[in-house]
Amino acid sequence: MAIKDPLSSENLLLSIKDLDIYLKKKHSQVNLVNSVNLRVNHSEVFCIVGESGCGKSITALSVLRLLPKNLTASGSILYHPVSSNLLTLPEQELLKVRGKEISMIFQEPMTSLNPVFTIGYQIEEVLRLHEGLSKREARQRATELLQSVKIPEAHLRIKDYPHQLSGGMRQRVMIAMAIACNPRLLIADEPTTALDVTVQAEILDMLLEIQATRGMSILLITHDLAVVEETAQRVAVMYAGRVVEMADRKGLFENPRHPYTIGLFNSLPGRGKKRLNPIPGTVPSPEELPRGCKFSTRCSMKLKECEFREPELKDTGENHLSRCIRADELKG
Amino acid sequence: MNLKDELIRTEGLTREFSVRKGLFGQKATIRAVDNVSVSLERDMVFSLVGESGSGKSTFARMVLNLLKPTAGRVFFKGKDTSRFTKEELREFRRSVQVVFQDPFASLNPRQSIYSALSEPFKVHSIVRGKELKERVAELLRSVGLQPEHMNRYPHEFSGGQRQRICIARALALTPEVIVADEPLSSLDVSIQAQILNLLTDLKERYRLSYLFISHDLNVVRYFSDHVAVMYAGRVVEEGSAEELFDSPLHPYTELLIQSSPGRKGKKPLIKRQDDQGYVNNQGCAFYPRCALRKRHCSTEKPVLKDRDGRRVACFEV
Repeated sequence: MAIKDPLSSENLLLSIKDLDIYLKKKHSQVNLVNSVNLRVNHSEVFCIVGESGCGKSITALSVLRLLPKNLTASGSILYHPVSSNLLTLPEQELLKVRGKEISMIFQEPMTSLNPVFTIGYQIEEVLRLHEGLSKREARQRATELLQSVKIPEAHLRIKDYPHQLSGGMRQRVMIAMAIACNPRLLIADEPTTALDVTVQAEILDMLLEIQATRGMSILLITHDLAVVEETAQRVAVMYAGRVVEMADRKGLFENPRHPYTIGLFNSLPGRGKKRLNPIPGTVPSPEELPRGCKFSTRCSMKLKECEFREPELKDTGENHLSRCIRADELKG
Repeated sequence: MNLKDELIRTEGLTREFSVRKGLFGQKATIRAVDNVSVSLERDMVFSLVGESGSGKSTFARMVLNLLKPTAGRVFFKGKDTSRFTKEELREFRRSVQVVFQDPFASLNPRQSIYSALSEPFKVHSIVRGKELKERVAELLRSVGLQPEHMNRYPHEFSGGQRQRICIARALALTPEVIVADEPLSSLDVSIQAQILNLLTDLKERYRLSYLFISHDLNVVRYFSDHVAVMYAGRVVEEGSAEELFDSPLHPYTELLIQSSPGRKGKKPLIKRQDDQGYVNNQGCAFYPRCALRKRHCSTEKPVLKDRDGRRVACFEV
């Protein structure tokens, strides 16, 4: 197989262009996400990584227009198979995309499942709605789906209510529901954060297996660099509502080119007992961001210039983008 | 044994809870902590790792004398804590302090930081008046905050800063032991690293010993001297952090280490179809998930046995 250019247009599945998200307040609005540009290709795992409040989750939510009412998104989110802008698509049209073409799983599976219906009913609902299956066909397919997410004795479990299942099992049910209509894109927002490590490993393995066999793409939102390392083909690192670095996994892990990403790596406890070298300070609130580079208040490589002018996200070579004026010095 | 400066020791510590299965179902007892005997020596970081429900927090609460054990005893400097006199209990409460996971829930939102940090001094009537303010300022400085912060309220601080305040409160009475129950779990990675550095500094400066509870293996490996791995209420393996992580003996320890993401050169996970009909209380609790299991594992409980300077509870190692 010829090596495909990761940025060629035929590969494109989803492209987010100049996405801004604002929080409306009484007399003002606060910018939470600032001109985010990214693209997800066919059959690719794309990760957005960042700490709490960096805007990664709301970026993901905006793709399916699931933002809470007080947040507004502008820019465009192009979903290429139907060549339409998801942000402006009429509600009726959007319903055909949501759950069928693009589906989503969340961190806490208990709040995403309806406690008063059996899990079988909830999976069948998706199939009957989007695929027009009969009750019997839907039950058959739902059982197969539960088997494909490795739930033992699926034909019995299908009659269970969500509270009868463990956290890991519930997340499997969520995944079964999300892949029921063979979506081209699965958005997974911290899917394993609430789970124990052994369960997390099983769920991640399973997601990757499903992704590979179905040729699906995954947009994975996480705060955990170790999860990124295990799953991603390409990665965007977000800080204060901006993408600060974007690269393929190898590039990012072997040669991070933004001081924030480097700081994140330095914060992780390694093998030895060496003192950690964390990023000083805390993330500024979105209402009090510094004028220039948003990371300048915590950056160890800051120059005078950084306080006044925000650097652009620039290619530093090999499709490795960095929003730092000293990125070239970090190139190794 | 007493040559080492032993601070806390537990003997066969056990705690049962009674639960009802279903709304009208029968009562059953669950053994959250089952016969745990460990000891914490001075200058040591002793970590308990395990997944949710393994009993680590219940164990910590019994050590802190916040929960009565069903069986077994806790000794503090060789004395049985259940037989403490009022005065001894007071001394114990001063020397053994706790930091919890959620810094949002552990600070009273209506109480200023000054009030929260001066309370331990007042309760133990150590200092009063003007000196109190100085002591609070000093505490805040020791955890990397500013004395000006004392007039603020918890909502004005970020999660990491609140955890610093909780640590300051635990330090107020110059304790010897700090029990830290998942103190980093609700924090972002960059803040986690800051707090880990702080805990390390304080350990040196105040000569603290920690009973550290965490599910994060990378943090435990980095921070601890001695580790006990818990599964279903029991300690399945215990030993020095280095040995335990470099060459795990118990199949569950191995599974945990392999599951922890970002490990290079990963071996495939130990996986085994669950044995559905298996009743937990006869044999080894890990039996249904174990790759090494033999028939007798389902009928007989393995006990902790010494092995190469470690203790491990498994028939097959």
